[in-house]
Amino acid sequence: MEIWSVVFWNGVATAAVRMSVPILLAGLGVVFSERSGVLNIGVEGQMLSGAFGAFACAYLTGSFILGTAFGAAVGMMVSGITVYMCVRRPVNQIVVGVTVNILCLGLTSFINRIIFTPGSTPPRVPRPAVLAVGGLESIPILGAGFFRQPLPVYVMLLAIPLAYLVLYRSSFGLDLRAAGEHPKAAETMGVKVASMRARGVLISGAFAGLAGSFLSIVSLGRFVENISAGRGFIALAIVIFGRWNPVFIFGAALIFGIAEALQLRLQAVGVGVPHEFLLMLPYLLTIVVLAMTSKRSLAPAALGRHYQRE
Amino acid sequence: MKSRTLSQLFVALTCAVAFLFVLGGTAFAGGAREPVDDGVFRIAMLLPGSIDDGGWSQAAHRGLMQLGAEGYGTSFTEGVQVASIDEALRNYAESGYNLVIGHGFQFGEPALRVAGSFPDTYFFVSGLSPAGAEIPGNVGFINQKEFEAAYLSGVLAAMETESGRIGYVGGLEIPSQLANLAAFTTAVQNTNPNATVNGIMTGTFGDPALGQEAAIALIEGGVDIIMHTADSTGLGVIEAAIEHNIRLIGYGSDQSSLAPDLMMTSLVPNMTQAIVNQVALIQSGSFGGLWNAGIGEGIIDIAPIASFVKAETQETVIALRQQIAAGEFQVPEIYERID
Repeated sequence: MEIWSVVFWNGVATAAVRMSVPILLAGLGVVFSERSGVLNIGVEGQMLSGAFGAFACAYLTGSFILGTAFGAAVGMMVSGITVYMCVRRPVNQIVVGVTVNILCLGLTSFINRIIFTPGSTPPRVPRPAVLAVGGLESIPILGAGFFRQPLPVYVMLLAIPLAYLVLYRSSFGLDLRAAGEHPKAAETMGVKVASMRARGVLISGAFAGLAGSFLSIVSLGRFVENISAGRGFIALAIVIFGRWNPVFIFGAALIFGIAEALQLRLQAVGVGVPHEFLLMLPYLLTIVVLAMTSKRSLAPAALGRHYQRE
Repeated sequence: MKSRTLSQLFVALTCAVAFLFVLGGTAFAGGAREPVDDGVFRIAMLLPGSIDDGGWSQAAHRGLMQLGAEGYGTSFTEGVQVASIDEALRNYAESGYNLVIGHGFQFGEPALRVAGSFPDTYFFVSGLSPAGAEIPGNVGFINQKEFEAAYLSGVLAAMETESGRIGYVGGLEIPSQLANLAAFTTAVQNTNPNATVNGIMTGTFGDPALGQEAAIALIEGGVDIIMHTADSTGLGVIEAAIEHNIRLIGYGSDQSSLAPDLMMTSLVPNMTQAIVNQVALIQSGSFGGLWNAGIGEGIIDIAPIASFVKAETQETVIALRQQIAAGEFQVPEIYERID
């Protein structure tokens, strides 16, 4: 295929948006947790658990909606561990996150093998079909990217403005951010810091669970052990890259999606650019952005620090 | 103070549970036991991936289970990370296993390091031996010539393609994977000069969503057949092919049940046979060194070709398979990327 053809870039655009959705969703969740002051390293595990929960539920009930809802619920339940350890108790947030990730990898694989016998033909669920938006989908590249997707993609893209409004235009968002910037001052002003942080982490878990559901029942139609394959960690990176702002995070997720979609296609047509270079590019950008903005720390001031009420 | 102790206890418990699950394979298989001298030949296997990966590790695990059913004592650990290979090898050797198998070329150097401390234990690595290494008598390597079956797959794909474009999705860029792709491409070029191979190395054996996207990228480029050799990443390839009605060549086991109307054949290693041969070599005292084994040795093969494949193609592939098995045809062994 010709690289400088609209068809080629239409393909890149559609794939880029599709591939950015799971990391975008997980990233949006992480914003809520980190804005409230809690590092959510366990997002990878929450995502994986959500992917399994969604698949198992969708397979057993035959309902896509129930599966998605259950996936989000499972992600939220798993984030309960982080709430208990990091909000109620002063345990190191990074250690808890790493532990959660390992636990979830083992637990999902274990339960998967109990429910679905390994070795036999793995079960599948039907995936939602592509729903093109008439008229808009024929716009070159942008139309292919944003109006030629399965229905869940449109719904999940709506989470970006929603997250923005909640964080910046609601009193809940203000309290949440206050808990992560200056918990002592917030507490003095009557904000219940522990409760805000707990909610931030739980919202993060639900988003991660949704991201997992997207992988298992929207993209693939089946569950495979460790299906999240490190996407949770990429979500943590795009949150930093996107400066804890939902809109920028969307941009960061898209850059990762474009790099991935492009490297696959450049390999397929046999262009001489090493594909590792394209894969490296988003990380390089993250480092550059961090280096350029490091004079003024953009991270929530109390991020990662436990708050003990006096 | 009390709450602090409680939370520490909770952390400890959670870590313990997590640790147990990480050791899943060992734990479920009964773990490392004290040596018992009951005449049973004990085989332990270290797998790099999950026993449910639909490819490399699953095939080896299936082989091991078959031997377990035949009366061998068996144990395995899955998901062994490179950093913990030495420890895992030592653990099994200390527990009195007669034969410890590392399934993958990354087990080669650790096996050579550990072997000197356990002269009574045999170590078998399914992979090439490290270049220039001295191999002690209790370490054996097998070079599974998967590329022989990859060559046959290439011939099959070249004769079956209508668009003249054939896709290939691989995993990590490791020697065996490159050899497969190179043999596949060479076969296509030799068989059908009008056909081209578009290859994608995904860089992972464990990301089905990425495999799916790789296959979609190939399908957009106009391929009408895709071969994969990427374990769990390949499961995503199969999903994409089903959605777009693209014919497939599978890997690791006969994958026809995953896509009955599309799977033309699969590249299938036979680890059971490889291990049985090693046990025989141990008993006859001639174990060790590097064993190059492919179709002729019964270690590598292709699965029965699907009935929807043209009769002419089937005959050509089967005839060539006989030639390779008899040593009349040498499949080129190339360790660089050609596509």
